[in-house]
Amino acid sequence: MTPTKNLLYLLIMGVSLGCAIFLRGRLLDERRVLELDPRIGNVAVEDPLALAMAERQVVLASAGLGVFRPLAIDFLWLRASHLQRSMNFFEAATLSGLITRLQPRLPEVWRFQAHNLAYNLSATLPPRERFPWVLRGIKLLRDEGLRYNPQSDLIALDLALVFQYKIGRDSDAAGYLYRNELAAIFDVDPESPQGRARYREWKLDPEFIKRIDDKYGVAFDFRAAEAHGIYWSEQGLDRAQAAPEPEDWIVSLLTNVGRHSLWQLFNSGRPVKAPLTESRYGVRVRYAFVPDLRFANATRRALEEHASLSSDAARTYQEFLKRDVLYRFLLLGDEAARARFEVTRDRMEPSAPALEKLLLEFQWTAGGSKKSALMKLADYLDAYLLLELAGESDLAEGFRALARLVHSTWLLAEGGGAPPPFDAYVRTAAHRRIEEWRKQPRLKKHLAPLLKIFSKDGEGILSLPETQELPLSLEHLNPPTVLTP
Amino acid sequence: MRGAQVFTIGRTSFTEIVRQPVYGLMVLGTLAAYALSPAISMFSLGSDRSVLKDFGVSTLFIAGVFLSAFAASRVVGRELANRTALILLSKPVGRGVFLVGKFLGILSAVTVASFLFTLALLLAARMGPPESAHAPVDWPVVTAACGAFLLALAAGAISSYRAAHSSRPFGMVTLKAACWTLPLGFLVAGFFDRGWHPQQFAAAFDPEVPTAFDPHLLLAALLVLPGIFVLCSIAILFSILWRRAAVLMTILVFLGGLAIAGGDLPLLGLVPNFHLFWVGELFYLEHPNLSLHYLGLAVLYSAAYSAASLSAASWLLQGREVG
Repeated sequence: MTPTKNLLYLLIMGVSLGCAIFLRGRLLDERRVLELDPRIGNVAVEDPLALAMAERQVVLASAGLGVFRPLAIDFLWLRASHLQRSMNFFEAATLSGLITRLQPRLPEVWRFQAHNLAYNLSATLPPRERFPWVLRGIKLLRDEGLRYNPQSDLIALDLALVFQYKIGRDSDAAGYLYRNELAAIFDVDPESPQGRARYREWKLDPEFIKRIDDKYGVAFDFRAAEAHGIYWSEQGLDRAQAAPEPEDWIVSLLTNVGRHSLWQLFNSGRPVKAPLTESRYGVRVRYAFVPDLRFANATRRALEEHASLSSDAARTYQEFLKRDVLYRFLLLGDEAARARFEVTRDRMEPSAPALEKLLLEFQWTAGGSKKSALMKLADYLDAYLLLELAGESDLAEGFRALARLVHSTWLLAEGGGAPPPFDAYVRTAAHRRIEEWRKQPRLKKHLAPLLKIFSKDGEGILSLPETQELPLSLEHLNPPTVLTP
Repeated sequence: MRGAQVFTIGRTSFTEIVRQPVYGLMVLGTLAAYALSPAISMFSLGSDRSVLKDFGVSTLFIAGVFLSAFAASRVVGRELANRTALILLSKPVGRGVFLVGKFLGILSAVTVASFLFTLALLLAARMGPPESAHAPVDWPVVTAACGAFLLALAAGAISSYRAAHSSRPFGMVTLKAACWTLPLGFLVAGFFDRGWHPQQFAAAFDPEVPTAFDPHLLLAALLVLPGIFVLCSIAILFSILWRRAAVLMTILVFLGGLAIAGGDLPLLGLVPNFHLFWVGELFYLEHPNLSLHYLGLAVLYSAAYSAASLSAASWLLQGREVG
């Protein structure tokens, strides 16, 4: 071949390739305009390399497997469904994981798999071993499902539900443990490097957090599961409303999850750390979740809007009005509760009882026997002691005041002579705790604060029934509960 | 003169390819996959129709990859290895003409197959996966597709029976017949809705009707064709370089071209970007928008890249001893 011919071939090849490279650029631009590439992830919170890899995976799985893909998916679905029916959740989860690789662009696949992990698989294990599976379900939806389906409002809804319902409520026996684990994970300063890394890992966009803070007028504390519930329901609402034709039922579900989250935050949105906070004995930090009045206004607005829609919603609103007064009594004192009661009593249905009766009816039907009054007294005094020990003096004083109200109203009304003084009951409750803790050498150091406050001898000890169920699940502040897994 | 040579070589190559059992098997297998596709895309949890279209276009692409790789290996690689190409090249036929003729022959065979696949895919997508056990069956589509298939088989059988001693094999006649009967069946199905009610043919492409033929699917299937053309040229290049590994290398280049996806590095432009010919994402969008402008650009990209590959192939063949 002559050099001229060689040159000619090289020239043709060069020009052709040059044209191809130019056209490739034009085609890539055009694809972006026409949105022909898979929309992957949220650049605000995701690693760009991970997004690029995910996009390649979608293209390879979709275009590279052709007809073999649905065949494999069919086989895997059939097998996974069979295994699920046979209660072989672990094997079913493995197969579902393969399906998500083959069909990553369908939100339903991720939802199915995540539900399996968070709800079905976790339920087969002892309570202490469940949280990692719930976490896997969350990670699957958050890190992968939303990466491949960034516009999916349903994945955001499922995430919100896992936080609000699975973790935020006692939907299974380990609900309390889930809330603890989550609170421990987020027990960091959000502005510290560790905190920023943690928020990034959990795909919590600081800009978006600021937006929801502004919307609700509260700085959300992500130690509470429901704060995540609100975050993801708002994310879902953004996605649902960005759709060309928003689906009413999805918007309604997301709004409901947001409202439930607010209600739960109002009732139990503030984590209180148990007095034993070190992990010296290999024990995780424990929390009790107490009412958070910062959410009162947002919850009231949400419930008021909803109250006219159904009798259940109206009942919840009525319950809110009562609890709003009670929580103010516990946290801010008698005057604040009375002021709130004066403002809201006209909205209470049926007509509001006297403030004292309303307060006494909290977790206990007023008008019970002396025995039941004593039991309530024991519960409230115990709550007072545990909160005092945890450094929550305001709330502790609230329970002491409530106990005093039980004492003055019911024990005095029982007749049969004047009851022992209230302080004697307080000493009795403290004495009982001290005696209980004395039996555990490791708790000795926790006795010191109590011994300072209360006399250590048995002087003036009365008879009080055993505590039954402490309000607001405050039993979790009791150190022996912390020490005994 | 050269045009006539190219045409003759192309026609001979086309005949040689479509007479291969592997070609018939691939066409039959792909058509069978489309026939079964409404059933096998049922487990898609609500996005069945999108998945059917997505994998239908992907299947078209994959089938094109295999067809072009096998065809190039057969009509170029094997002829060079067996030295049968020498018979042609010893005549006053340029090596460039030889390659272009072979390329056109392969393109024709692949285009015929893609034409049938596209019609089958459109029919399958109109039928769609059954949403429930009681979902109505699209009988016009079933009748048209089965009728077209049976008619083509009958034509092949009759032709074989009447010309028992001719060289026209059953497969080739059936394929030729299918090129008539399947479009006919498609037309017939287009004039009826699911309930056998007559309709304007244009209504069969109404994007507002979920059970109509999807015009975007047609465009997506057409977009695959230039991608397959690039693969044909690459398959020819590999058949000259390494005949035995040509099929494998073509498949690897296809997968590599998909994997580079939308990378922005200029050097990636040297690798054929098959991702540009695939628009599976389209079927998951609320308002798909695939323009003819994009299709035109893709055709130009395909032409440019095919020209580069064929030039390289021709350059290699010029310096190669074929005798």
